[in-house]
Amino acid sequence: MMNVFSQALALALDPFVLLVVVISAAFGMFVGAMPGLTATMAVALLVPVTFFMDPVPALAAIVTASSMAIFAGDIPGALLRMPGTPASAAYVGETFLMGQRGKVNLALGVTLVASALGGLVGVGALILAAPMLAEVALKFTSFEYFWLASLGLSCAVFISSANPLKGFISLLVGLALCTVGIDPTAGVPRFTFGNVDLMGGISFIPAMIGLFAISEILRGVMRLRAKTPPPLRQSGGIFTSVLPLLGRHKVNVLRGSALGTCIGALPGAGADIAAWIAYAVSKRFSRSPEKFGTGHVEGVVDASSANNSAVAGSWIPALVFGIPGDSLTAVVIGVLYMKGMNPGPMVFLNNPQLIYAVFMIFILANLVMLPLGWAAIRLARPILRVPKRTLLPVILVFCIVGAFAMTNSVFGVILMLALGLVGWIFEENEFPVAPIILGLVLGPMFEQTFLTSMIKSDGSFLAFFERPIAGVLGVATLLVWGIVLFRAAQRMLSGPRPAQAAPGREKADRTS
Amino acid sequence: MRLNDAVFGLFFIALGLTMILIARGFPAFPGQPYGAALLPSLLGAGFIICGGLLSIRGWRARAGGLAETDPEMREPRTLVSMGLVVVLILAYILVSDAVGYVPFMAVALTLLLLRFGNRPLTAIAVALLTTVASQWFFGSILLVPLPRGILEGLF
Repeated sequence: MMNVFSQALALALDPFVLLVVVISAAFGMFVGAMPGLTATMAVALLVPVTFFMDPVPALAAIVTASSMAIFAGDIPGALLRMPGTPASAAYVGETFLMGQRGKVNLALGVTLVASALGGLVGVGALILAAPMLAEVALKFTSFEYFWLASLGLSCAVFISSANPLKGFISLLVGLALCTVGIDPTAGVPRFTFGNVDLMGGISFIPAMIGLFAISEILRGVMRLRAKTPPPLRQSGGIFTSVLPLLGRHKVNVLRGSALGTCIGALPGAGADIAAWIAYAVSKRFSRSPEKFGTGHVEGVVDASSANNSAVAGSWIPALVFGIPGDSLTAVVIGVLYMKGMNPGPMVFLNNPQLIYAVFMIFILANLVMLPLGWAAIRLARPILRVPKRTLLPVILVFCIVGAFAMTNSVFGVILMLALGLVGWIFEENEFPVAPIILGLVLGPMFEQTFLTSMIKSDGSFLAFFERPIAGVLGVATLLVWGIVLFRAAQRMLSGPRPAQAAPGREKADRTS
Repeated sequence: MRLNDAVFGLFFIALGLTMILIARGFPAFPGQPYGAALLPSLLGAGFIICGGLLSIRGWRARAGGLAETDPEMREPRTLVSMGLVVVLILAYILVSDAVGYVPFMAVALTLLLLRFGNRPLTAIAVALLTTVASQWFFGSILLVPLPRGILEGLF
């Protein structure tokens, strides 16, 4: 054990790894702070670079950039009333109102320290829970994994999208993309149309760059001419009076972090949902709920610790079972596979030093957040002044070169363009894109465990429920489906909702 | 651009049918009634069912018309700008091998930056800097074989 620990320490404190942490932290801060560029996009742009690194620096880059981007999303929230990432949307109103009363730096200082603390709590939970769960997971067979994948995918689709039918279609698209190429169980080429490039399958990094970055660029170009309001003036120190304030609200920090960790660990809900729920819970249990929405700090403390602890929490199912909870961990799982660290309980036995090194970097990333976050808040005004008209074309170049680097051919760029257009059309029509990437990552495991289980049980579906854990997971999956189908049937019977008729009405208004 | 749900519904029904038809040609495992065709066929069936539900939804909302464009997209200038992003990627796919990464990006990026309303000096400076930086980072450090094109043999 000590040996593993010192190995991990050596891996984590390698000067190159530390350099990667600092650079990707700065990068994550920048992308997160730009409104419209999300944490997933930061990671999407970073992954082609990590492809060329060893496992530990590669994961270090992703961990640091995602944690930083989630915090940095708060900065334009307070200064412009525009959340930098969806995870900051829950409390953007509060921090902006605090800012208008001249307390910008206090608001951002609070979110910074609460984010770091929340992140640390989440990491603590990850360090404690992951190895214990891995012990249990060692006994899992293809039946349990099949149900875990099904449950994860179902929750991901039904919890996180406002429109379950469209979310489910997106998931089908992701799973369907996965069937392109050589089939993993029988070795038969499927849907390749004789094309050699397609034989290798849809590689997920160009797909992800397309879905999350190219579609975002297209949307950005659409709104290129929209004016951004000037950011608020800053005043006051960032860390002064933050500690006494957090001391008064330490219950909120703990509650927000605990909630965030649990919500993050659930498949299907990530940092943004964690922030919304923590904010709502904070209001519910507050002694002064009437102050919420008027620039009150209490809900901000809960929600900003929650979204950062969710980042760590979502790694629990990702590392132990290989089940992603959101698009960020879907990327992480893809990278783990590429690095030969196939997620699952075996990675804790085979490569414990790598896992512990990642845990250490998680802690480090949350500590580095304090000085770098301070610098980012100080530099916020010049950062926010970088115009979209200059930034978007530059991002486009890095998308192209990143997609190219994944296949060393224009095939990656073709995939990126195709999925970028799909992503844009989907988002414009309220199809969520995250389920596509979840399906793409989880598809091979889903199909393999399903076919293996079918062969083992000789085609009998009853065997899927015979083992105790598999049975529980199976019933849970069917319950999720039952509830969703019941609600959908209710809606179908009660006729179209007014929201669906709205586009028609709007159009009539505009033409009249 | 928002399309009526029925448009997507019909598209997904067609996609599902195509998948099932193609999957019928996949061989099964020896001695088993299922194999490589199972998942694609299930997914195809899923597309058909969901496509059907979407079509019903679209039919109910048919008063909204077949398509609706955002106010931004009615602006021809915005449409051209968005089209240019796609054209730039397409052009990269088609000609980058012959022209080479550095010359292609330097020119294409300058044009795009100008189109987006940057001043000429800013556009050229940003384009050159981005091209050189990306070539240095991906080409020299990460050893990605970016196409050299017309610069082949020059240095």
